[in-house]
Amino acid sequence: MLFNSLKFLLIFPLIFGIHWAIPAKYNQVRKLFLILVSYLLYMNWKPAFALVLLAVTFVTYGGGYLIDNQKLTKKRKHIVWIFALVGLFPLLVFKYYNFLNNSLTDVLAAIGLQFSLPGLNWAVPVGISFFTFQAVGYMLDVYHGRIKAEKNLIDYLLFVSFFPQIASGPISKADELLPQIKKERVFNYVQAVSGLKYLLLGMFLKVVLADRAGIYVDTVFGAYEKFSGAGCALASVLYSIQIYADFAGYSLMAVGVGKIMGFDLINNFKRPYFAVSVTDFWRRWHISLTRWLTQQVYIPLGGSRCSKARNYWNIFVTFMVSGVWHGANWTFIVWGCMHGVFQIVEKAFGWNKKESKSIVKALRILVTFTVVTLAWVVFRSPSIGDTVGFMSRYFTSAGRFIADSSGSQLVYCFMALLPLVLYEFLVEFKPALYGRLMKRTVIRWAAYLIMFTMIILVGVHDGSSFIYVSF
Amino acid sequence: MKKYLLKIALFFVLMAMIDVACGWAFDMLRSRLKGGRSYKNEYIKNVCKEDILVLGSSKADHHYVPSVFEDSLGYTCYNAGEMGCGIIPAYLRYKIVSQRHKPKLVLYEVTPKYDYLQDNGYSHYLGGIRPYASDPVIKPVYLDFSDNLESMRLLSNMYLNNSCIINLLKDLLKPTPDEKGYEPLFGRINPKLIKNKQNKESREIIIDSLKYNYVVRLIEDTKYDKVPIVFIISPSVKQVNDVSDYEPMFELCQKYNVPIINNISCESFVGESKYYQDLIHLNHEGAIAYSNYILPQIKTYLNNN
Repeated sequence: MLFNSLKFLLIFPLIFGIHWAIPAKYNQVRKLFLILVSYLLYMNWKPAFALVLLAVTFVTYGGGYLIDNQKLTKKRKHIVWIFALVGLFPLLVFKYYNFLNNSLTDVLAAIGLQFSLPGLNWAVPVGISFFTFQAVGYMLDVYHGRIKAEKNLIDYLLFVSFFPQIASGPISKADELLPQIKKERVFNYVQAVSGLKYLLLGMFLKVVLADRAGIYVDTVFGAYEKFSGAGCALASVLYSIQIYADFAGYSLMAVGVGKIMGFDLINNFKRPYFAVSVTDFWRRWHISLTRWLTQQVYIPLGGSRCSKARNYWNIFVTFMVSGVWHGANWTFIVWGCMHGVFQIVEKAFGWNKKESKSIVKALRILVTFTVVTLAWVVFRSPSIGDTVGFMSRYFTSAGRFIADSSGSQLVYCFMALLPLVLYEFLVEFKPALYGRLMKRTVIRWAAYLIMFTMIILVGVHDGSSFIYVSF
Repeated sequence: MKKYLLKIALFFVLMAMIDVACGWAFDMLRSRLKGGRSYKNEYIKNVCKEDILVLGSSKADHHYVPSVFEDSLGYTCYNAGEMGCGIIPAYLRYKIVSQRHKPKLVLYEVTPKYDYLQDNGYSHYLGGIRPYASDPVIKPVYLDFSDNLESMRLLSNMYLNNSCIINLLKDLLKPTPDEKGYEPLFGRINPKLIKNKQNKESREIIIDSLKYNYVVRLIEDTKYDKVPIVFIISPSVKQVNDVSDYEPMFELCQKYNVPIINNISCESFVGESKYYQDLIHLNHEGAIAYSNYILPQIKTYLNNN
């Protein structure tokens, strides 16, 4: 069940009420209640998906237990490989089987061999990439000795299935979330208020900005041959805004719901479009995935403590894995490789560490945004052919500029974008002023009321899904 | 916890007050409309009493000139067509108008995608209706196409007026003159576009039973009201050989013995770039020519009834 659905907003107060009505000393009951809620909400998509979730949970729990109890390094290595592969198996089958099958068939057909395996017509379980990475990440942490294996199955069940983060993350680390699960939590007013603010801001980003921009973006990307270069460029920028507002919107809501329930989840975003380089962008975008990839892929490959060439290769592989993680399509792989190459270039020229001020900094932000936006076009396109087709439109003046005749969709987009830019600018560059403003009750409450009014009055209420839910 | 819940309650009390104020503000703004699409909705809802009522999508909106019908036939006419409008809004427009007054003829421009074929959900049809969704005639039809929580959402004035503000302000500040609902298009299509071969992909025709049932209901309701209805298909700038999309409509009209006029390959209009603004829509010159062209066809049905 998605946070932006009215159904969730009606059910959540009930979950909140029951959860906090259970006394803290009965923490085990609370945990069982949260597991039940998490599974019921997850089964709302498709009940059978819960079996995959359960399977990944048991495999990684068992794997962690066995690794922890094995002293021989070689055997530990065997166990971690076997259990990691078994844990990743549902993800590989559901998400990548058809892609690998089709790619193989195409390659064989190109050399004149006719061979094909039957395709799978199954829906991909929601959030499979997120909960699989979280669970496998736990097991790898146990293997690398960063944490001890979790003995309590109930705690572990909740760690993997915790409902705010199951559909689109953030990908939590065991040493962050498990201690919070074990703790007897008491209601914290400040934390709960902060949770509501996150929930409201996330809802605003999703419903008012992302979904509105999405209407425009879908129209242009769906028929780019009818649009001029300026029209396609505008849609590209709007897609950058859409994907940020959509994913950050979800993450903020997840963090918000978590806080209201007494948990602190990692915030996935830190104003990524104010990044001064692509390397900086990845310190601010999907932080929990970047952290996972750094710990589980980049560092085991050798990280930066190796030759320059090897280091560049490690960066490239890490971002290719990031591309593959996002989806079974060459567009995602190319997108990941592009980000890898951008960072290698930055590192080679030392741009990733260069400090800048005023106009130079503004220019660097602009260049980074442009580069990231171009990469998003690859990400958004259904195929590489469409990417080329779309980008070739940049160089033509023939065709329409705006997608809706009245232009109202764009006006709604900018109505939502303006307060977001202002908010992010203040937090990024004028934090003291932002802090002073937020101390004034009138300003704070006015901001909440305006956001909620805009959600109802100009938001898109078609219950559309989040982009990252499909990953 | 008590303080937390009290603050949430206070927030929702303030929101309820804003919601009420928004309701008043939107009612006030609508009462001051003088033209544009928002005015057209208000007119249909509260005033429309014309003899001939044109219904349908943008083709209806841009192709049928009421003044041509009024001058030649001596009957009043109102064009209640609207861009992107399918059977859902069209049926409701008929129900609203027929409550007040029974038209002497309903002209319905058929657009298969909007009227009975499966499309991408219903939200784009419901947006224009939503401000009026609390009306007892409109509400049950609106809810037929919505999820089971929609009636709860409709309690909010702000939700009723969702995504209306820009168009409303535009119509207030810069109203387009009302030509009895007709919206003329100006400019001509590039003739090169007509010559370009456009291979229509053959696709499966999937009927949306919910929309289809409302086409049936419209036919049945007009029969019950003794209001003649004529379905009509506008000409196309390109020669159309495949009319399979229209087959369900032909069959329905035959079943209910309702006339359907197919002008899609009308020789006077096919290939005539001077009459078209784009590949689908006639420009003002084309609309006048087309309205004159169908006069004898309409006359038959008016005279017969």
